[in-house]
Amino acid sequence: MLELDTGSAEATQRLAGRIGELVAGPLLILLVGDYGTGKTTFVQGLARGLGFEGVVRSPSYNIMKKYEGGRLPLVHADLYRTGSQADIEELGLIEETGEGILAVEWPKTELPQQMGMPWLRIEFRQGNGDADRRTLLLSWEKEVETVIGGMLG
Amino acid sequence: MRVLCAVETSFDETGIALCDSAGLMRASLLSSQVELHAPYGGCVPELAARTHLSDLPQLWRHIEPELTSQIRHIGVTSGPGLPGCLLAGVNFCRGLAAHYGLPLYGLNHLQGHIFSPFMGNGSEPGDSLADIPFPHVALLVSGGHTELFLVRGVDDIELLGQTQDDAVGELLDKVSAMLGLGYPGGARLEKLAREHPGMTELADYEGEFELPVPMRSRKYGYNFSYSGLKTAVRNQIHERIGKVQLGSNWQASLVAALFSSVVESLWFKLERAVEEHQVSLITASGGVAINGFIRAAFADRAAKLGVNLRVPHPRHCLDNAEMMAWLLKLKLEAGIPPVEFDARSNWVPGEPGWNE
Repeated sequence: MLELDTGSAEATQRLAGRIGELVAGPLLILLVGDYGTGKTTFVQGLARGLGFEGVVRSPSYNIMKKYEGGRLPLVHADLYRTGSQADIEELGLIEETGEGILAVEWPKTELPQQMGMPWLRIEFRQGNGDADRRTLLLSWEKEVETVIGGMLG
Repeated sequence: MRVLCAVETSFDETGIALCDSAGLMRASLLSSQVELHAPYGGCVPELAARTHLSDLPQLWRHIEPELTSQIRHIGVTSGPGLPGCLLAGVNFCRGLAAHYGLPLYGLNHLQGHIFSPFMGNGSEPGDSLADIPFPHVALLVSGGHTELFLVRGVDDIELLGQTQDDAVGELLDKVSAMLGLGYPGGARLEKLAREHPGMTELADYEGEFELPVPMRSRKYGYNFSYSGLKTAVRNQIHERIGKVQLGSNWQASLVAALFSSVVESLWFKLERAVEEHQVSLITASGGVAINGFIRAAFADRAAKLGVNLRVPHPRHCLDNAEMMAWLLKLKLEAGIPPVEFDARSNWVPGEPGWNE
């Protein structure tokens, strides 16, 4: 478990960008936090780090968006309203992600098991008093250790 | 009489509409899934696709055989939308086209919205292609989209700008959820905002809240952004929750301030586009175009600017098959031939390669 403070949306994006630069293989990123705490902001930074140059928009209405052109494909999903096995199959989440990165907002607890991928969980909390400040709580599986190590180093 | 038929299944509405060559709707069947999805807070993909599959044949059976025998062209929404939902409609229509030996058109859902302000209502046939002024500027605002287009012809559309994060309708739905008002949020928030005494019909707000007007600078071009505004509203809510404020309807005031900011941010881009492209007409379409503040404020500001404003009838703002039939009617008038197509879940008019 790791706790990181970011003072602005840009700082959150720099951190996410670093993860995007370091990640080497399939990774499930679970993004947990209330509305407006920076989940999509994080994915925008992640996409930059992967070398994707286009615009990353909120996936809430399309439920899933795929971004290709970076070092690895990035799938960005919002599973607020869904998450059953049937929905995951309907969306083709496993096929779409392939060997790339899957970043999921509002994931259900069973998602890592459904996807069978190494995961990194990030919880977004608003800092006390300062509206722009966020605390990011990171937890991860052993396979993700090198990414975390590289990010801190 | 020759008629054309269009099918729409891109999201959570199953629709079939038949339109004659004069633009009159001869049949319109709609099966909304909104109530089905409401307990989940929005559209559930697997449920939606399954419901389209079972609803389409049922709706089809409601059309008089006399009318189906007059169909000469078929169109289907082939994007953008949820992949399984699009396939339900596309496959159904491929079957129809093969069965009746008719040409089949893949239609862009957003293009349907763009031309919906020119539709007739009830007994009126709507504008013919020759009556639609080109170029004009079209704003599309809905739950999944916030885009500004320069429209030069039926298939000649330039994308001027779009949201860089959240769509306006998404912002409204999420604020509604934050305030515990539920889904869909737009109408509920509008009702609440009208309770604030410092809010005018034209969305001029006076009150305690100061919300940012996002992207109000020329340096952002025609792009929009609503994620920061969402966070600003969230921060205001968090500051007040738990504090007793007897006799205060701060929620109404906050939501009124939100609408004022949204109207201002959208109008800023519209006004710039009118100036730059010297158009005499602007349109606003999509689900958020139902909003009374947007309609009234845009009408007032357009009149002051000396341009015309067209908005669709409210029932044509939400997803519907009639607007897709209307689009197909315009395409036929323009002599556009059918082409091979596949369902495309991401497909915005004006993006590179959209019209290939």
